[in-house]
Amino acid sequence: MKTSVRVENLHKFFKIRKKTSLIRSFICPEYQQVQAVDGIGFSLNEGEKVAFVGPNGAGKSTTIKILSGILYPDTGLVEIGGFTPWIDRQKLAFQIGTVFGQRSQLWYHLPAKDTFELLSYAYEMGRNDYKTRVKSLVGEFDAGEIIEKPVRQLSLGERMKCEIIASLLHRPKILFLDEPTVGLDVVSKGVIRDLVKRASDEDGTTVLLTSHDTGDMERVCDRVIVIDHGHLVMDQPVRDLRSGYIREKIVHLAMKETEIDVRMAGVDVIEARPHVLKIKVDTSRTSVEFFLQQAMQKSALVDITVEDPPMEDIIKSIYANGAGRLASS
Amino acid sequence: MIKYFHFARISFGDHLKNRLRAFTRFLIFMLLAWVMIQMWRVIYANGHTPDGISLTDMSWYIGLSQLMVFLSPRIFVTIDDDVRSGNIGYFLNRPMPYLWMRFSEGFGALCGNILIYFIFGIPFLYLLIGNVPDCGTSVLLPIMALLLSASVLHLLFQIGCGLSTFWTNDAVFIYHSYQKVMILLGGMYAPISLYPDFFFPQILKFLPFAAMVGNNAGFLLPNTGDSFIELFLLQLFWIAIIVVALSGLYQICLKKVEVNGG
Repeated sequence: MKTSVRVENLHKFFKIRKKTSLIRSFICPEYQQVQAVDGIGFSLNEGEKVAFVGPNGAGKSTTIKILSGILYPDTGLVEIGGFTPWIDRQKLAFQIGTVFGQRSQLWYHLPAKDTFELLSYAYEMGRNDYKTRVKSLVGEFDAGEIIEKPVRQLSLGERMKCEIIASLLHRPKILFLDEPTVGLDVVSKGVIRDLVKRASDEDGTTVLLTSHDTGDMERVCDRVIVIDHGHLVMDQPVRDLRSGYIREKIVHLAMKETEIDVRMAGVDVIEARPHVLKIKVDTSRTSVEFFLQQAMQKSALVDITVEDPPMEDIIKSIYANGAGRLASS
Repeated sequence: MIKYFHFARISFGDHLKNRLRAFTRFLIFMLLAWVMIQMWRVIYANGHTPDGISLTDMSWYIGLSQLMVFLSPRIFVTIDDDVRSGNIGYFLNRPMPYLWMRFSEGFGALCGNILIYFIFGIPFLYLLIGNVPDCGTSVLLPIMALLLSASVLHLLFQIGCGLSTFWTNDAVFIYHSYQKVMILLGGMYAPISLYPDFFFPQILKFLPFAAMVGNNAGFLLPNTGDSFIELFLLQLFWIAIIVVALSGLYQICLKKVEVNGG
């Protein structure tokens, strides 16, 4: 499969003014360098949907901004569709679409349809092509009414639909989404995730998505790249995260006895009520099978459910391990 | 170029929609023009009559100079805000340079102001002054053309002030400094020909400030010896210089763009 995005050894520093005395700060200000991105490298294939996750300050947004041509890196190589983003900004603009959840690319006082029209001129779309495209996207996103209202009157979810339509209008080959569901309610999040996934599947658009919401990652992406403190911590398929990374299972037991003693190595009781137990089993120390055998010896079991821990806990654990590894290095 | 036209077109419509802003701005223009013209009436009434310039011509000069400043929208405020908030970054991944996108929008708004000030501003000056210029109304047409190109020059200077935010973190004081220099060296309150010799009025005439203010309104004054073509070419010369300078400045600014955080 053809490589769509190639990033090698990317570094970015920010210069931050140090707080000194008023006179000193005026005459001779001092700066300190903060490393936002530290040697990140990865590549994305055409049509891949990749989640780019990490805790606050990990360097996700900075990386996306470098990739989309907003920021200059200090060193490193980035190639997107044969272009270097910060050098070939104007040419690259035709290849990429961007959505920044906390910023808007729509004109605040104008209806979204006016912004779409302006963007169609900016992206040099033919009139017929634009009309067909906008009709198809508006239909797909069920946004017929909302594009008529001034953007300032839209809800966050409605605005985000318009932002995504605006970013997909010129049929970009790569879509950068920086926290597209931030601040949205559960229903709107679901709608946005489905729309992004469907749009990408239909047009073969490569998606790079940053989010703090693991639901975005699970519903939209096939692969996850985790970064922390500017370093790449992990890069693997989303489906392998559960089986490959986490060695814990959550076991719900409904039993005949009011309570039983399940103390053993690698087993923690999360919740205990009469006839009900919720247990966390560390599978590197005790297998679930062994634990269940022990439990069955102590009581007849009415119901058993074995679950993976929530994706959020998996990611938390990756962050913790990543930070630990960095600290030890 | 068509994309720039459409950005200007949308901005033109958007600017005219905000009637309260347009009205209050026009009120300020009327107030300032009235105050300045009254000031010259007092000077003339006290017998201090500049050689060869009638009170009517002086009043038109002052009124048209004030009008020029009001034609350009305050685009430096938008750019200053974009730079400080980091929003400028989010315009950089569009297939047109941010600088010329904002210029197109500014030009669209300028055209909206031209409509307002030429339709209502010039008749207002006529009512305030009570007479047409001594050389007749036909002189107003070339002056209006010169005011349009002068406003474009003023718009470009404002963009420069806006970009200064990258270094100063506040474009307002840079703009105010620029405005004071424009008032002083451009001949906003008195024709440059009346300036004392130590100001070198013959040199001031060729500076961009006079090309924006004094030269245009001064076109109606007697004995200036300026031709429309000369004044227009001088404006084009300065527009070209400022465009080149802004393009260079913009490239430096691009490397200074910093957008921290999500």
